[in-house]
Amino acid sequence: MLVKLFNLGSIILLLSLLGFWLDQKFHTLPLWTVIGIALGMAYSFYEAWLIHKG
Amino acid sequence: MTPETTAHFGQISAAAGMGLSVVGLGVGVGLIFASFIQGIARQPELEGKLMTWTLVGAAIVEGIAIFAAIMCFLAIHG
Amino acid sequence: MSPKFDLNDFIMHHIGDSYEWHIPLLSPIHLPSFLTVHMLMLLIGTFFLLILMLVIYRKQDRVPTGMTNFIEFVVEYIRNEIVIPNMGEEEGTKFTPMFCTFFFFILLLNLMGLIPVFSTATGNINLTAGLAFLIFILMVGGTLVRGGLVGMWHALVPPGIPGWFVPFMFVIEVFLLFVRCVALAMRLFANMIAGHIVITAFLGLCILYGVFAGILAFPMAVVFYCMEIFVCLLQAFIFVLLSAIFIGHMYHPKH
Repeated sequence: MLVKLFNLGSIILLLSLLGFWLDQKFHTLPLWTVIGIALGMAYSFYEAWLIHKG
Repeated sequence: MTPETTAHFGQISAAAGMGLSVVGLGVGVGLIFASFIQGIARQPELEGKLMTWTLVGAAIVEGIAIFAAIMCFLAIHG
Repeated sequence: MSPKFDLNDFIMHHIGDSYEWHIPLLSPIHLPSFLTVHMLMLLIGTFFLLILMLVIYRKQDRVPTGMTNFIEFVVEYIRNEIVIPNMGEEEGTKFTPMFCTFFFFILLLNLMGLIPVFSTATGNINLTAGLAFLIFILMVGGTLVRGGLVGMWHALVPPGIPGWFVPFMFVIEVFLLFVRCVALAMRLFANMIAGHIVITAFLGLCILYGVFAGILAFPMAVVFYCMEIFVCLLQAFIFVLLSAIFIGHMYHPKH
């Protein structure tokens, strides 16, 4: 259970850090970070939905 | 009534209003719990509906006093 | 004890909405212009609710244990004691998921405000007004869909009163319709804000007057913090109970 929660949390964290790094390269500060957080939350919700289904 | 003397009317009225509204709140919640205790003394159906409705009634009565608290906070600043 | 410490400013700074998220031991995070702290707490709270219901709740166990047990107890309590006595049998079971969503959503948002990193999203009048607006739409729209305008008239004005009283009854009932929803919003908002103002005021007293007032004021802040946990649970329960009573009153008027 803790492993599953840690997986879901780290998906969001890694994707948002990826977005933040892209932001630092292209100097557009909030844009890629927000897209990273949104994609992280979407993929994490998808994983949680698969856990719920089976 | 110069601006120096009317500057603190908001604060005085807020404090007085809050103090007056808490009088009614104390009496109300005290009545609710008094009838709760009397109801338990007649029939000990404690875990039934009495506890639920007592807390619901207390929350509703306290909600009214908290409306007054918000209005008093608004009165402090003008 | 700094000489320019303003207690009002300190309280408003901790209670109000802002564009900077203050995390303890880190520098404040500047949020983009379309996101404030309360909106961010709303998103995080929604995410916690989804994780709670999808991952933590295990439906393949035969005997529920732990958090699953608690969630099942709450859902069964809402269905048996709150929704079905107010809205009848078949409609009650159809409306139970909505009331359970409201309860867990408001409970999670309230409890998140007690953790130092997050802040109370229900301490914003806009969020509670949005929730009360949803209840209002259910009350009015549901009555119109179920019975049309005739059903609405019967819900507001019961059919057994003398004719000269009908206009007064209609005006009073329409006024009561709006006032009940506004009271739902104000009750939740005011309870959450009042708890946080009291805790912040006691801590501000500790800062303002040094350690001799702090010895008395800090335990008071801890006591109010414990009462705040109880108030969070109670206010979520009151919101769901009252909205079930109002909706049941509009759908099945038994004056």
